[in-house]
Amino acid sequence: MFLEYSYLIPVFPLIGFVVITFIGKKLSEGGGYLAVILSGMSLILSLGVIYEILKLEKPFEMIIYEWLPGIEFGILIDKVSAVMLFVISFIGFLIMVYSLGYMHKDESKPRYYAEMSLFISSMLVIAIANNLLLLFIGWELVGLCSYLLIGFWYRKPSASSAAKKAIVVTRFADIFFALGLVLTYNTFGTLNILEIFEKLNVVYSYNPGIISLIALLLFIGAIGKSSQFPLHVWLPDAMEGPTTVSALIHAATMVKAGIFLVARMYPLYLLSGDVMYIIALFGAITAFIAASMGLVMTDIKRIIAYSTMSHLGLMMLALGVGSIAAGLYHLLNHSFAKALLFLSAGAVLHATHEQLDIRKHGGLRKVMPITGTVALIGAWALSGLPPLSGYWSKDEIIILSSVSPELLGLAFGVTLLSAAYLFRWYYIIFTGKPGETYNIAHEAPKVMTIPLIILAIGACISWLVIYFGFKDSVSEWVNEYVEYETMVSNLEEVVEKNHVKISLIAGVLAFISFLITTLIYVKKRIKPETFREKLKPLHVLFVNKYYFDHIYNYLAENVIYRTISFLIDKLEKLYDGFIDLLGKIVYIIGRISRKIQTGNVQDYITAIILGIILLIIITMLGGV
Amino acid sequence: MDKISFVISLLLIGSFITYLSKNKAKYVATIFTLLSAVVVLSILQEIKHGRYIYINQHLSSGIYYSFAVDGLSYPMLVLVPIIFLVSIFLSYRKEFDSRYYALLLLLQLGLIGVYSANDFIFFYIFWEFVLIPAFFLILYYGLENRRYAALKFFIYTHVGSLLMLLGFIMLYMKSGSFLFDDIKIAINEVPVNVAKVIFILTFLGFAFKLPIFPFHTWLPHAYIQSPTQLTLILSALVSKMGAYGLLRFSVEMFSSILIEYSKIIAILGIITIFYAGFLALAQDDIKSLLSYSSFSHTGLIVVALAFLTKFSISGAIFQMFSHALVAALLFSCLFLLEENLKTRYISRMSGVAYVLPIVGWSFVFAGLAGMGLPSLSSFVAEYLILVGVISKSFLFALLIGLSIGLTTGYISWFLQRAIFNPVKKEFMNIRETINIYEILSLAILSLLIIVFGMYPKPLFEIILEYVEVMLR
Repeated sequence: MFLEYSYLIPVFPLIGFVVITFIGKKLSEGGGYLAVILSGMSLILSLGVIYEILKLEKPFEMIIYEWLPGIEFGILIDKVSAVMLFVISFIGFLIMVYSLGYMHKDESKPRYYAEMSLFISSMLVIAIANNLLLLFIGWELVGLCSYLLIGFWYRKPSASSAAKKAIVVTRFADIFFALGLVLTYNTFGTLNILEIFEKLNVVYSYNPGIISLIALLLFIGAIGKSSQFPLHVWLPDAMEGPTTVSALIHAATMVKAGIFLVARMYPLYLLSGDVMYIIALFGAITAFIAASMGLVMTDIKRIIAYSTMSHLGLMMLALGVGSIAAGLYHLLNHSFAKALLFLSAGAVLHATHEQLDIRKHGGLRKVMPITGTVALIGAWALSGLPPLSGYWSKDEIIILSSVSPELLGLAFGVTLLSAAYLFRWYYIIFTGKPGETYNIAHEAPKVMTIPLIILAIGACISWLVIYFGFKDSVSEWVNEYVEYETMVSNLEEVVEKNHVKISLIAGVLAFISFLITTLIYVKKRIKPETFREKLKPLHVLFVNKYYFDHIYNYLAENVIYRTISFLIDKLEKLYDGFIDLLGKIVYIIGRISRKIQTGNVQDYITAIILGIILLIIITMLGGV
Repeated sequence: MDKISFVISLLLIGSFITYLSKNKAKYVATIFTLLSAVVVLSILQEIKHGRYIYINQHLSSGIYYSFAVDGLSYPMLVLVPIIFLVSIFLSYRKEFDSRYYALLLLLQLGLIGVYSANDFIFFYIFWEFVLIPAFFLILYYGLENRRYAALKFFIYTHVGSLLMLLGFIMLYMKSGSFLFDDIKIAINEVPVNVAKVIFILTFLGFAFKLPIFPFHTWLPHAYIQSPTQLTLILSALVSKMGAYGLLRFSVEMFSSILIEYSKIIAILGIITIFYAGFLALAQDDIKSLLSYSSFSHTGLIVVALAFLTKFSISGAIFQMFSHALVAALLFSCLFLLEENLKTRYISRMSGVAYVLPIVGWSFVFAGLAGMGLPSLSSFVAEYLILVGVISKSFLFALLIGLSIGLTTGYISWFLQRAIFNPVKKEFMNIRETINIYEILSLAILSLLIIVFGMYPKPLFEIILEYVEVMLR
């Protein structure tokens, strides 16, 4: 009974967006309560829908309207979308509640709630779209909301600059998504996701190359949205937005859209092996470089942003090596833990006048006991130490990466680094000597701590879904379109063989890393400076973010703007002058030739005679 | 009397009455524009079944008094009164005399004629007729450098028109008729080389109007020096005459010859897009930024029509329609911005969204529409064009894609510097002035952009019907 009404899931927040945009100022809390109620309604409906879809064998599809002839927009819900649907609506609702406290004092609340509602609505569209084009529309709309919300405090130059960066980078990637989309239409004659899958084998039999090309183009789109190497530069800057925005958009949901896209189109990817390897490799590289940068940052939010990037890389790695189940499992676990970390950071910022530098904090656990505890749970869950949820999925991804040595090496590197940067973050802020902000800090109001506690519980137990058939239900459907099980049987063999060994090594690495961090920041046995001195070149490289920003800024500013644009502007001025010159020449010729018109009959007769002679000569020459 | 003749006489009479009604002129002009909007909208039911010929009367020696409407002309025809309504609403706050409104109605008359004529002589008369009120509007109501701009605009587009006329007279010699249907048949009868010459002549005529690189240098002057209410008409409707001409003649009639030149035309289109896009990036004056952006977007139409596929042509027509709305919205926002802040230079403004919330956020919306955000009408056009182009050439599709990236770049950079960022001190005391008519204008345009983006099917079907018949 819920499934028939599933189209209402994104409609509720959309209503919120429209109403709050126009009359938000007149509503209590700037439309905040309305936004919470509406996202709550879509959460209830989503839960009902998920409950029903888990019992169904087949995916549920429903057409709503025809956008263009042959392109029908509607709803497609299966177990993959159920995972996404749950993450979006559940975390979305919690963050909306949290916002009531966090945004209480902001004067532009109506704009915040309107944009957040639009975001949740568009994100839900991505999760349940039956058509690649509808998915793309949602995809671009969440990009828009991300742009607007990163620039929410647009009067800050850094915020408006970060917003521009985000939209330019992600839209650059989206160009390729769009190309993949139209190529899909040309190849398959449809954009309906299930119809594409049904035609996959036929197309593959006569043109396997086009499938790889489409897969690659869509993946470039995913790189941009999920902030993967080499288009990852926008995500750390995106932290300029309110922390709730970072938690919802840039940790729990929107950045997962890229992962979701690959998972959604998984049968397509399985048929293009080279692209799968690229996905795995780029994922592993992202995971590693992000972790290394996270290790040296001092911004409370950017550290977690790099952590997000690193975990997104791990998810891509899982998908790339052939395990949709591991990818989505980590997606689910990570969403809780990462939203939790961001919201704890938000609670800290809320209590300390937005002090972003972790070195100014210290010992906050004493004044903010609840926040401190949940932050520890979040850090623990993601660090790769058992037994909280992040550990189980991460461990599995590391085992999977053993299919090839370079992936395994990068994955071990990530394990070593992630416990370090997460506990460094936690120790500096919450333990040790009281910092500058100690005296003003206070525990967050209940409206904020309750969502935190719920998320913390989620981060502790979400891994248990594995005992409810999670893995089979998100991966079995693939078999219907391609021979998935035979394709990954090789993978299973490798995993079987190395399982215990790699799991052990990873666990030991994480533990060593945790131990060293504890020695440095709690026991103060080792000074962090010694590391910095000894590994100076690496430290410089990490702090400068591998010089990606430098290179891109140079390209944008010096090459495109100052050189190409400038030269063309000069060229245009020259050309315009040249055209005016042509006009002047015509004018001058006119003035000169005017003098020929003497009005003297003899002159005209002379001219006529000369003309006749000329004509005779011409005809004679031509005649001979 | 048929509907087109009725609208034309309505506007002619309207312009006289407007001129005579002195200080009530703006209301009279509004009423006549609304009336013509009603009539033009009512055409919709007739063209549901393809091309609809309103009148077809032989005058003399192959000249027909003939008007017809089909899926190519209807989208533009229906926009004419809407865009003029916006332009007139935006003129309310200025104390324009009755001559101004009378000229606007004449301009509207000319455009209706161009978009519905079914005989070349009438097409040409209206085509040239558009120049006259536009010329005087720039000359009387333009900015400081208006004489130069008006003259340049006049000479430039007139040269183009003459080339076009020459081409059609060559065809007339063969067919003995100026009726479009007769011309179409005659083209197949002339020798290929002659047909090529005619094609090039007419193509140049439209290329000057659109404009296509390198025939464009009149554009920035005319757009910048015009009063903004006119700039929006120039960009939304007058430059689209060139696109309309290309589609009506170069594509519909000369399709066999167009195929031979399609590479060159597509390359010219791509150069137009990027050349203008990079120019837009370099501008500090928002009006010239928007002018170049509009110029860049018309390049997309050229690339699309060069590929001559069902989707790319439909996309080109959709882009004409959608870009008219988007350009009108962008220039409307610019007008209100300039009225409030008394400057239109990016370097002299910042934090506009805070000082002028309605104008600022409308500008953001218009900018997003300009970038081709999905769910807005401009995306539909880009999507159709990409589907059409990619079936012929991946490279060109990629180039179009990259041009969308460039557009995103210059628009978001402009928004960052002007609309966002800290508020300028001198602006702190400014209070936004915007009247109900201006809000209505912004609302009409935004609503149309959203509606046709969310539900493009009805419009697309009208266009597709024309395209399928044409390509057969």
